[in-house]
Amino acid sequence: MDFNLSPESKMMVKAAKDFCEKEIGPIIDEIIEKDDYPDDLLLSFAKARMLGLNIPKEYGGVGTTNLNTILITEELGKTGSVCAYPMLMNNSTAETIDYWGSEDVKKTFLPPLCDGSAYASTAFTEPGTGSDPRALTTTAVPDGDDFIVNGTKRYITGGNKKGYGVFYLKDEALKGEKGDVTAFIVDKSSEGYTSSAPWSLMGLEGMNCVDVFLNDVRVPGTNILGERGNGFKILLRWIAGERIQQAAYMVGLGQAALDESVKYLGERVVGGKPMGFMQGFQWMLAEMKGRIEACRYLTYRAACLQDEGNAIDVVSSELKVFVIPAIQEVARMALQIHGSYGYSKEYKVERLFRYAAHAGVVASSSEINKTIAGSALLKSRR
Amino acid sequence: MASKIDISEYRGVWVFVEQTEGAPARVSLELLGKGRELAEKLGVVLTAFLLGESVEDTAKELIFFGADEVIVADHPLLKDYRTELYTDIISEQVMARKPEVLIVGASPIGRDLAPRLSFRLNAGCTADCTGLDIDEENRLFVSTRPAFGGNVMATIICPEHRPQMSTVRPGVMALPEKDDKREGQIIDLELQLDEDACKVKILESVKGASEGVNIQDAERIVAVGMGAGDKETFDMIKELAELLDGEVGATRFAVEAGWVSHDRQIGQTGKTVRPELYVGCGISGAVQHTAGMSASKTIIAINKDPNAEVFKIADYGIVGDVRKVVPAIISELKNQMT
Amino acid sequence: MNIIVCIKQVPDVTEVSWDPETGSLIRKGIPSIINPNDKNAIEAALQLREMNGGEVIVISMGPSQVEEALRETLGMGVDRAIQLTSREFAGSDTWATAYTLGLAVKKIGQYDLIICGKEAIDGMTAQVGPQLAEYLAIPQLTYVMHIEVKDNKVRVKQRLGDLDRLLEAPMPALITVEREAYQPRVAPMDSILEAYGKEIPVWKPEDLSGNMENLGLKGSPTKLRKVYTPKLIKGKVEMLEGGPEDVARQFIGKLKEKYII
Repeated sequence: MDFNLSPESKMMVKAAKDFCEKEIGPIIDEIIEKDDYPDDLLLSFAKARMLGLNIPKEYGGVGTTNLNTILITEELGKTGSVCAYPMLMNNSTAETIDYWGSEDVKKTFLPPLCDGSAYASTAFTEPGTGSDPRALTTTAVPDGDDFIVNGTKRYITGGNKKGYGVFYLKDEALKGEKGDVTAFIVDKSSEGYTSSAPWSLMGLEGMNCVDVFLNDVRVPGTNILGERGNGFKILLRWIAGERIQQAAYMVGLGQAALDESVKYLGERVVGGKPMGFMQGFQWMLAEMKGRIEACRYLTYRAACLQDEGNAIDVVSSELKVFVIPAIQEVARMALQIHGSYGYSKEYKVERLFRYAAHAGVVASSSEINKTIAGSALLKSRR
Repeated sequence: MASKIDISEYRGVWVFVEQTEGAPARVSLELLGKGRELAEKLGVVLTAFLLGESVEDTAKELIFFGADEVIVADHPLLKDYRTELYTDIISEQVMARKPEVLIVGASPIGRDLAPRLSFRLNAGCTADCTGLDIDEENRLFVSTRPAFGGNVMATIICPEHRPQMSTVRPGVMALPEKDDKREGQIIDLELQLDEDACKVKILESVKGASEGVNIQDAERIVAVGMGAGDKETFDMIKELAELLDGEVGATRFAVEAGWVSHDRQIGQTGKTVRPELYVGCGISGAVQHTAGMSASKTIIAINKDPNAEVFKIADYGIVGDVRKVVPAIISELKNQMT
Repeated sequence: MNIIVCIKQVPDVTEVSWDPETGSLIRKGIPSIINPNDKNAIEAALQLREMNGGEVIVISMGPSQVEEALRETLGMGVDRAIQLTSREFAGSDTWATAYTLGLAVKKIGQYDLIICGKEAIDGMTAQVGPQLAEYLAIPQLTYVMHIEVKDNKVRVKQRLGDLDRLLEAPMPALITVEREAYQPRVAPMDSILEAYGKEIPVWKPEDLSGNMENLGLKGSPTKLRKVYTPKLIKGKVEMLEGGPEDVARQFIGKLKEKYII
């Protein structure tokens, strides 16, 4: 078992660090202040060839592994900004389209998601449901070769940014059947497609989570992703991948919290000596480090299993079960170490603490993860 | 490479003099001052090499600044610096007249010219020197320069090749006194120059619109370092510089933070300055910076850390927070002025 | 068009630390990096390739670990990298370095431009570029901020001190770029994936048709006599004591004493 990263992976991590320093660092304050990122953010990612990471080159992608994707994500997590998410959304949506889509669908939608000209979104959640496909009320009604879509989607990341979204809709023609959710690729500039102002969130300023209102939106039948009625399966597979990426983001966030704490303890003087002199703080650092390392390698392992073609529904759930509380505790300890400075917006740990809270409630909540992981163990006994 | 020359045939110290519109560059005059010293130690003649257009008066001035003789290449095509023409003319004369030492100011022009010359002449050239001397016992020209990013000093010699060349940092050597009673010889070269023979054409040449600040000319400098770590403090320092009728200088930190442009950077990777007054605000005194200002006449340092290196080279030190001390100085200065 | 870029691997001299006990430099463990100014040269070459097509070849002379630096340039997107490593090259001053690089350029054969960084952060001599140009008898265009290729000629914006000049020369020519120009791109992920699949040939003196006498320490006209750490002048500093208002008054007092104000 070789735990060493390949030279290519190491170089990619270095390039990702360089990217964060050059492209993300200078705009963080602006993103937090405006609760939005610059329009050309996606293009910066495209220029650095960080979009379409898992997409074959023939469609404009880079064709690399999930492991390399999450290594890059970890670096982005360290910035303590929302910026990883536009990149991840484009990458994961593209990957879903590549996996399930017909040749025509791939040729049409993958290149713009890889070249930075289109922002991707995934739309399942509605005001009435975040996880139950039976409760979906946004409908797609056949009309000739097309479908007419009506309904509201909620908390759609980037739903207001020009591009394409994979929308999970109640397929009216399949009403009553076991699988009645179909995945459609919707052009966000379609007539009848509007979005609300972004929800004001506890953290992750610039996430651009909006409500999307679909009012008689016409979607061509050629935009169906995968088999009709198979939508929920497509979504679940996508969410499993999201969990691993989110875990990587959290590892980066935790690492940043640790780095800030080490720095602070080396500078802040109490009783004539830097605070790090005190055993109590050293113990806290040790606990933070232990957690981060465990989360890191668990995440890498999940990505490797994913690369080997394994089903990762259970593994990714187990991953989040451990990583989320662990990193949230790391962020809390970082706040404690900084004392009242940690509560001030002048210091990075303030937002790291706020940002860490999202991972337990987004892209499958901790409760759902625990149910998946726990029931899987019982299933295997039978 | 094996030297095929008889070094004993090489005598004399030459200084390349750079000029703009007839005015000699300050660094060239500094080198005449140093060159005088070197020539005395070697017991040889000090020669200035001047290229330009209508520079007869300039040539005379160079004698007043210490040259025993001035070789003049006066031609319209030499008005602006041209690598090819300057290299051709100087190298031809060097090969004919065989100086043992040739020094050039490490200005942009000097650093474009000297290496090209040195390769053509199979000569050793030491760049960006801060010290020049003669090892009289061995009749060797000894150059001292910072190396390893300015963290160490190296002394370099060129034992077997001639001329021994160096480029010298502006602002390091002292400006010599002008003696308009000095006499010397002017040698006018016969030139046949052809524009068509020049591969590089100058399409345009304008005075830089960009910055226009040369802190090397400033007599008072207030410099900002890492200890003045934010924009508000930087603005205070700017105000102090203005009140003192001086310029703002900086360490690499401030340049990289984007508060000032690189032409205000003082140090190994910036400029060397010798102002009348240097006030360092929040500057630790790392050698990368101090090497660029240690020759300032009066150095006053303000730093929170009583053990900061900068206090070892300062004349006066204030242990305190720049954010508190600088406003107090500003307010006191304003009081005194009214 | 074919462009050769010369790079140097240098110790990261900005990350140097001093031993507080002995006051000497800690040289061990200093990371090696591509000279930052050379990355501007690579960026310039890559942009010119994007506009004009052709190939970018990077060469570097150094000990065996220079391979990592060359690999990094492949990660940035250059087409080929060539390494010049041999004991005979060791101890080269700028003259011998320029000569050796020149031999490699001659071996490569056809090129339109050579682009170099203006200077390296360790030596900061800025000599190799012009010396290489002289050896190859090609025009040198230094302090360049912008490059344009048109009608088989190269046009550059040169920042010569406080003069901004527009120069034009036929190709082949050698250009040295300023640090403020051509900010290097982030290595794109797809180039990185291809970087380790490319072979980096290692050329030694026997691969180059040159005069052995001109290589390495032997071939260098300048010789290092001594290296020492500079002593900070231990003068007597007069500390001004008191609160901000007190020191401010004393400060101004001193300036008056010295007739500065």
